[in-house]
Amino acid sequence: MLRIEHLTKTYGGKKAVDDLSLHIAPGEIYGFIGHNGAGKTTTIKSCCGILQFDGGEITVDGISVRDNPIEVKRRIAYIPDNPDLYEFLSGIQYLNFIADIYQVPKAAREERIRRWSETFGLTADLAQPVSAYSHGMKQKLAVISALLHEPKLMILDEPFVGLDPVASHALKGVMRELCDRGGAIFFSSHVLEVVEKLCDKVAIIKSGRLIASGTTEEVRGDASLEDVFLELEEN
Amino acid sequence: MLKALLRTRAQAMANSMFARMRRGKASKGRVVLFALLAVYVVACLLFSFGSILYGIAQSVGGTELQYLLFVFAGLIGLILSVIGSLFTTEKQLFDANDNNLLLSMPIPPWMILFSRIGMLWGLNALYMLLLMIPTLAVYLMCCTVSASGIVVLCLGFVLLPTFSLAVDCAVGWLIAWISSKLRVKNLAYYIVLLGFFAVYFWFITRANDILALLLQSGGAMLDAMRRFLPPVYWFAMAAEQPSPLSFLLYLLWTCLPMALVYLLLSRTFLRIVTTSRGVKKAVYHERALKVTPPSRALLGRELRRFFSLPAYLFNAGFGVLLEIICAVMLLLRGQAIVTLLPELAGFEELLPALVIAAASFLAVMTLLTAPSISLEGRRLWILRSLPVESSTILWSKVAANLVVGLPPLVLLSVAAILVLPMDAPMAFLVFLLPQLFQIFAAVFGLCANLWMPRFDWVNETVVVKQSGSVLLAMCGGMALVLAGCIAYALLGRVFSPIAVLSAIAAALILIDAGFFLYLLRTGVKTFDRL
Repeated sequence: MLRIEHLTKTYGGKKAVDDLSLHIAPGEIYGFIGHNGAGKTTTIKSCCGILQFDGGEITVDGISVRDNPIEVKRRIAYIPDNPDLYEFLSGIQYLNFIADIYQVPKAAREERIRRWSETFGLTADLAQPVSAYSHGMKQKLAVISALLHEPKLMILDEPFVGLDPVASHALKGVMRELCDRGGAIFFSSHVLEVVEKLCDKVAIIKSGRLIASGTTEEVRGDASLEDVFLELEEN
Repeated sequence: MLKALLRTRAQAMANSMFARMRRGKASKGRVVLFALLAVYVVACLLFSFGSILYGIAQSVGGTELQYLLFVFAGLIGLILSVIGSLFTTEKQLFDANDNNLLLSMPIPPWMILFSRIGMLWGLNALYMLLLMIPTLAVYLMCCTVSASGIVVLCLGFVLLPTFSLAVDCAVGWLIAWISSKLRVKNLAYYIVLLGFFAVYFWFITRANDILALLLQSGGAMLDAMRRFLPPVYWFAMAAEQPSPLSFLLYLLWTCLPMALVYLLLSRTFLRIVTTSRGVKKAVYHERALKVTPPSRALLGRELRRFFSLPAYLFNAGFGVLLEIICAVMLLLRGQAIVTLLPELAGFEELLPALVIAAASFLAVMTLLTAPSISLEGRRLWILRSLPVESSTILWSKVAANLVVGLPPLVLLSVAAILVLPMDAPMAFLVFLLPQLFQIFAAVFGLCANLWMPRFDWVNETVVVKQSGSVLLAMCGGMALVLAGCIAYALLGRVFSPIAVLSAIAAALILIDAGFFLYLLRTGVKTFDRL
């Protein structure tokens, strides 16, 4: 599904991501953890075609992000860690705009907006301008907008920040459901308990380099993911 | 503590203007270009105000009515600084992003307010400086000068921002209060600003009539000024007849309103900034959704943003307003110009060219594209993550500019064609040339924003009013219109007006096509790298 080969991205003289390779197969929830400034967001943005990277290759279903970014973007959905949305639109206007861009048919978009708004408890607020939303509500709106075109791959940067417990639970269910249908999830998080419980595979990045990757059980071993992470960070 | 707050405010203001230069991101060439553009804009403003004041001084300089010069200077300065800093005042006092942070620290609320007001006073003083310099120059050139008069004039201009700031604070509070009651939050902005602009332009266009009236009625008008605008009256008196009493009265009239406003705000500041000003919640009713193609969805988004941001609407769309006003004036009063034509030798031939020049100047003021990429700000990720070509995104920005800018120009051109005598080829050029200038403004504005994007803003007003791309686009457009005027003036001596204007149109088509191609090729790559 997602293949990252020798990804390198440099800012000024500093390598933010250095020769990173990993592969996410269909049906997998892949966790991506690392300290602040490790290169998680840079990696994620490179996968989404938002950042131009300096070296390596990224493909989604065999399609190169560098050569054919539009085709890749049709297949994926991205949710950033801090979803700044269009404050001059209402919730429903924003969702309709996203659906227009992805050319989601009328009946399908109405059904999906109804379903996901009810799932995440946002129906009553759809007529409100986004400027009136709290951080959590914006996060929910971003999640709903990401689901409208039924992506094959969801790439999320700290998706659970700001979500209430009900919405978090719903999002986890959505992630599992998407993977059961043959899709994949690639997400970064600082909440290691969630990563441990949810993810099939985990990768740990430190100062731009991959220092551990594999199934959650392989990476964790007999200890907790937190202990493993702290130990790797210290060494 | 107060010093630290004031220093932070000053740093924030400097950062909003010179962020890229301070971080070393701007090349030397850009710094020089930006400095030259800024000098050009300031020079234009000084010249235009100086011209108005010079005209007045020609009538009253050296006479007992000399004080009228200071009355006009004070009024223009007042209106300019009130309008110029109204948005910023409202945002800083009632909508500042760091209120929560500052209030959580052991800083008395009155100190937070004082630091904000201090910064706003500085902003008003900058606007007032644009009046002070030409007023001093005209005073020295045309009036009976005294040393005390110069000193009092300078001091007077230093104090006048205090009164204009009091007006800004009061109007800003009114806007914030009205906005809290309205569903369309920005409606209050539009109404207040339209009102101010109407007053401002009524005053500027009627300056000569008002002056004539003042010269005739003299004492009666002075009494009216003393009753209804005491700060301006005492400013004029203090400058013209420097005496401790008149200056003291001027000091009272400028500082007392601010003191009262400050007292009122300081008592209510905490309540104002911490009370949620939400309106009644909009109730969602599920309706059939409208499906539009991606390109139209992007265009719709651009237009919604334009109409939802008051600063953007007024700064970028001001030309549109003037075009509509001019079209209406032409239709209502155009016949009066036509009947005068036989008396003005050679003017009939020049009139269409003047109309083209005026319409073109207005067209290049309609600059939606110049800040449009910067306005994406922290939301750029949305466009970058969507499956839409960068060329489509850029085209939607140009299209929005044209959708807003072209129809009023058509209205103005058609009004001119209907009212003024001209043959068919000239009528075609009167219609075509302003449209071509508008296309240039749209395309060049976007290029300018691709060269000078700014995403680190906190307040959209900064991007719309103070960014380098807006300055470059505005100056570029005006320079092109001016070049057209010069070409007409020089070539018109040898060739017919139709031939010259046709050549200018052909050149414009090439220029527009050139920039458009640049956007589609290099512009797209530049956008992808943002």
